[in-house]
Amino acid sequence: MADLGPHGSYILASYVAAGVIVGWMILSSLLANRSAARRLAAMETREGQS
Amino acid sequence: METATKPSLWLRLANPAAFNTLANRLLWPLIIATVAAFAYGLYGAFMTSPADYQQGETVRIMYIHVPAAWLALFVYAGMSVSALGTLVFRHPMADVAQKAAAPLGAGFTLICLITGSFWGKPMWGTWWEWDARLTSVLILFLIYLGIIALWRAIDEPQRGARAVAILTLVGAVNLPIIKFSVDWWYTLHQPASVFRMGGPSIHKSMLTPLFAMGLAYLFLYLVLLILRMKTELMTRRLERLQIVAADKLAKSTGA
Amino acid sequence: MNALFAVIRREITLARRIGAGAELGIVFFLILISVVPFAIGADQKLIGRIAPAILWLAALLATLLGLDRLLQADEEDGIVDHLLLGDTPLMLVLAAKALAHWLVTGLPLSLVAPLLGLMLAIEPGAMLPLTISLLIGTPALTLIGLVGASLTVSLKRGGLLLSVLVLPLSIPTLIFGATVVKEAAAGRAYETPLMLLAGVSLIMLVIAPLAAAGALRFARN
Repeated sequence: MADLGPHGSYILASYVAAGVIVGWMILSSLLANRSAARRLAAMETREGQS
Repeated sequence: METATKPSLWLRLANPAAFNTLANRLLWPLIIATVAAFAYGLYGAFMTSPADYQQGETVRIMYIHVPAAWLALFVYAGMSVSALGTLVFRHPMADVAQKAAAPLGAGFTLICLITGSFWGKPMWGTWWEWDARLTSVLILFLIYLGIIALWRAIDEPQRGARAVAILTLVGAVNLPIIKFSVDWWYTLHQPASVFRMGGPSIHKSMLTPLFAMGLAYLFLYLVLLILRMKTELMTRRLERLQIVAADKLAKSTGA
Repeated sequence: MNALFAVIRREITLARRIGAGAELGIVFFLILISVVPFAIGADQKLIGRIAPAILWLAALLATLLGLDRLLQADEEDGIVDHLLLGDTPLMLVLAAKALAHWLVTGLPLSLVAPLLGLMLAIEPGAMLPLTISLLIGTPALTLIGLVGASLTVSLKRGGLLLSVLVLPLSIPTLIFGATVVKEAAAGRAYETPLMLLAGVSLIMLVIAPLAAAGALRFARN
């Protein structure tokens, strides 16, 4: 990787911040999807039994 | 030929099962495209693109900052189309898409603001400058937050969807006015020396990674949008099942 | 036409009955302006310099006050249902309600603003532009608020949400309105921002009743 010059820390920090937000968007979407799928599956098996 | 197939596709997509089939088919190719575009864009951003002769290496922040601003606007445009879909065409997928898109749009807007702040500190010497572009993006962020707040406040999905659709369209009409007024306000208070983000100093060698990052964000957005729409459909199905179950329970105990 | 006059007359009567008439709005305006020096300090020069901003911000907040009740009481009494079924177009009724709200908030504020401007050491030359800009600009604030009120009408505690929805949209009005006063105070021409302010108000006059009527109607089925 090239030398990022005197402001290297700002460049890295901005990429890290963007990465954190992107990661958060991915993670929250995935977790919400998983939990909805789990609850739906639980509901459907319960309804199937009764 | 196009016109004959298009409406039928739209009509078919109104069915959640058909939507899920299409979504599952699209999801993996989009994920691969996202990863590839990010890899190519980031490689270009750090390796092949030159440092700017004025801003030096700091210009590398542009590759995550400017595409985020594009996406912030693109998502809002998409939400406005969905809002029309909700109000005019009553397409059942429209409000699902809109609800799924709002937090993503806010996320990209936040990326734009934070990276802009990190870019501004070495360039302007302050974390925040009341620069016309940053200020407009900030207001867009506030409007996104308002839309999300309204979604949360109205618990009935259908009614909430229509209220949010109207708010989105009112916002869409207002955004150009806000943009114009902020630009106009900024020219009145122009600070002594202004560094322009993404001004005329963009090289051709910088454009390729810039567009690659734009595509990467776009693909990422589409992946997450599809995922969130699927989630929303499941949540709604769950709520319907719960109501049915509650009805059954009430009948059995009442009888 | 008579129906619209009846709406306006009813709104004003109601506002007076519950003590939310013009007087209370002016008192709120006065309090906001009296609080500012405590936050800033008794620096007459500084206060004079930011007076246009303070006056316009106070007008914005005073207009927001009471907006959440603009439609809520009628919603609770079932009057909105009546209006939806009535012969008079809902858009016009809502515009009349907005006009009535403006008559008890925006109009009196505009008229007393120069007096309060005196307290804030505003330039004498900016007095008239201040009143004119408020007269032209506060209708836009009320109309934007009408949209917010119609969107939050069914919510128990919509007041805070209403402000969150309405404030970003009122930024252009604030920019042009405050600039009129600032330019006038500096002795410069202020026609351009005044025209732009009038433009914003006219656009809102077209959009807001339409959007508010849509919001109320769509909230039903």
